Amino acid sequence: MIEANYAGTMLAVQNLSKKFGKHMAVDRLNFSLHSGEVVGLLGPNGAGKSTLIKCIVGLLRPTNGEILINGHIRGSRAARQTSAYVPEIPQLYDMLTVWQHLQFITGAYEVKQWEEKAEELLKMFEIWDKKDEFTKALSKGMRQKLSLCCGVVSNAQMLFLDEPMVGLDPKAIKNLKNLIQELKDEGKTLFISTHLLDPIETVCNRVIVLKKGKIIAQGSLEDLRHQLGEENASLEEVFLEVTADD
Amino acid sequence: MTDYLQMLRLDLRKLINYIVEIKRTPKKLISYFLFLAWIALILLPQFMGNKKSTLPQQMNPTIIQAILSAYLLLISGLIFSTLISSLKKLYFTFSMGDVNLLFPSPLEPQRILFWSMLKKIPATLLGAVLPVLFLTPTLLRWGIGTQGVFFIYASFVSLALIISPLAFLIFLLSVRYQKEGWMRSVLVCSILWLVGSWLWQVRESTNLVDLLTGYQAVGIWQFPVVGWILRLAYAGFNGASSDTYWGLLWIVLTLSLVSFAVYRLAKDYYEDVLGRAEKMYEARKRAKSGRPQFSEVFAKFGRKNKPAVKGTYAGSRAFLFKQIANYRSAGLNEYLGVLAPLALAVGLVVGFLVSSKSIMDPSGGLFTINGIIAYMLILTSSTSSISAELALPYIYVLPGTFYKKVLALNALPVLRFAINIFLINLSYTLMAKGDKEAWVTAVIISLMVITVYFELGNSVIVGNVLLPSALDRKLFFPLMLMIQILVIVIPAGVIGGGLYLSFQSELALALGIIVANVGVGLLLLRFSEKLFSYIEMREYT
Repeated sequence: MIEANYAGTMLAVQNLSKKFGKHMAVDRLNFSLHSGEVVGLLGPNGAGKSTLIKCIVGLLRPTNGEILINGHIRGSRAARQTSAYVPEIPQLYDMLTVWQHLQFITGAYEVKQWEEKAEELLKMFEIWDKKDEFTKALSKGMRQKLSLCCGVVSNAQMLFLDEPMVGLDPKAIKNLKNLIQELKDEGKTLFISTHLLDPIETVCNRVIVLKKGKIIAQGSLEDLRHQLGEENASLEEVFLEVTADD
Repeated sequence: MTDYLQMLRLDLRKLINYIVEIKRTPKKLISYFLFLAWIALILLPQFMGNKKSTLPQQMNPTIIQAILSAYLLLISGLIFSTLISSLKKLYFTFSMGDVNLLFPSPLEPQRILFWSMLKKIPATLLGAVLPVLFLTPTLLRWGIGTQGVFFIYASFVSLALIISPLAFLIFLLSVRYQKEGWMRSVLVCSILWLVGSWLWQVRESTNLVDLLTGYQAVGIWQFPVVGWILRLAYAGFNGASSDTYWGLLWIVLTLSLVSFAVYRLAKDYYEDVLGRAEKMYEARKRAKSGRPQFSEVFAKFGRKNKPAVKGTYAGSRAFLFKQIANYRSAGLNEYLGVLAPLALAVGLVVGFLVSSKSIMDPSGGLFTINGIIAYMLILTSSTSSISAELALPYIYVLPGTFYKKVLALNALPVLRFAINIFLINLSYTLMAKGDKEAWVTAVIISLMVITVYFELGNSVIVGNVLLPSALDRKLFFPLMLMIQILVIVIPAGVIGGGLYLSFQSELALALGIIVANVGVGLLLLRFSEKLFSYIEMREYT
């Protein structure tokens, strides 16, 4: 059991592998996230980022390994109660309105007095005027905003955001960046998979870089810069350097 | 309990929103009205006819045997094909909304599954009403009482209710608990048992009618699920007995047991339903954008990974390249798809039946086959290669004229359709031992159907200009159908009729129709070129 080794951490992943047929999408991963940390999950297309997040939130079954969320086994009710997931593609309920989505999520997570927070989020993402619209009438960007609101309004201690900035306009990206900082200040733990490096550069405590299902680098931006010997490199430069083919 | 309450609230909200949606989009009422009118048009004459007849018509026992035999074959085919597929794949459906919102939420996965199975019951009960409603007047006229109709309905509902949890259980045992070999053996033995029982029952039969009584074999009658569902249908025609009620009881017990087993065994099942949910989501997207559904199903057969297409396809001909690559990956080659051997087989079988049973003269068979094909063509005319392309950006942005693009897109489908039509008609004529006149009819009628296909393929663009919204096209589908029929019939009638009157020859009539179809098809193509600038790409509207 890994509970003893990782006591006090928000997410503990040990020896995690996921195979699709013969293809090893995620290969013996070991890492942990501490409470209040914001960790960026980076990697080229097909690196296994979405698969990893789906394994953690319980949508995919790991082939091997163990995952604990706040000390609870992945997929258990307590683990789900602690975590929320914002998917890569915002596929929602077509026949629910924006507000009803938030009602449903807060009901499922048993959140009380959520209305004020929900209004604040919808206003921040400029979809407050759409609150009575069915989601099928929303653009992809608006659905993405609602999907983010659903994740945040759940009040879960840990958030898994899979490519949260895709489809967002520049203002929404800036607002999301501020929101991530706010959540970090509130002590929430965030695990963010993204290709857009600039917005997360200043808010992430550290990054994990995946390639072909394996962790090829992890640590704070400073650590990685130090490892590469380039003290002024941006996150983008660090990423390109560590993911470059040999 | 709160989990179930949450899901009940969610589903009630969705249900209420459907009503709100109608209030917001009142023109949707037109489609519901047309749907109800369609049902009424089918049902009313039958009910009125039923009132007029003083005595119900007694049903021929041979026809009952044939219906029950066919029903058994149908349900067995459906059940076993579903269960065999379930050895590797799961067909239980959740929406992508469930996947992204419900699954990661704290609600218990098993409760989500149980609720999903539970809510399928009223949906299934309602879904089975329609076919029974259509059958009811006919059944009543055949002297089948209300109780009989109830048992037929119960038979349909039992089949619909039990198949999904049963398939889920097979999948769990086969994939999750790795008993595929064992499950496969059970299914194969079951099929062999059923076939063996049928053959044993009819071992002394001397004619075709006696062969139909095989469904009454004890081995089938007592066989789980298949036998019980059959008993209910049998009671519909022959009255209920204790066997019927036992069958009903066994079905209820099995359904409860299987559902309970699924509930207990389906741990961590989310991954298993993801693939199906994504497929359903894609299918809905395809349907909304007007892309054909059936071609995707057929494309699964014989899909090759790396079809090689050599040469340069510049400008509008790029669409020809796309069609060649698409067809080569999904069929024998770009000219022969999976429908070609099917067309050949249908032609040979129907031809053989016509020749051996002397049901009708060979030309009569040709008219029946091609009439059905033409009917299907008109019903499916709203989806074609062009309608699929209109939902994508390439036809709007790639270089070339629209006229040439349509030709490039339609050339291969028309050619493939022509090959299939000739295959079915000529193989039929060969097997039906048609005379010279039948061969000429086969060729002429093939050309007529092919030219109708050509004509309909070119009419899609006009439909898109007249009704740009996909919703409007759905709403006014019957109206569009009528216009299409008029566009086909009037010129064909005028030119064909004119030639017939002039030459007093049926051949002249047929040639006139063919010429009219080609002419109108070309005119529609020309007209489409002019109309193309009025069309815009619509993704999900």
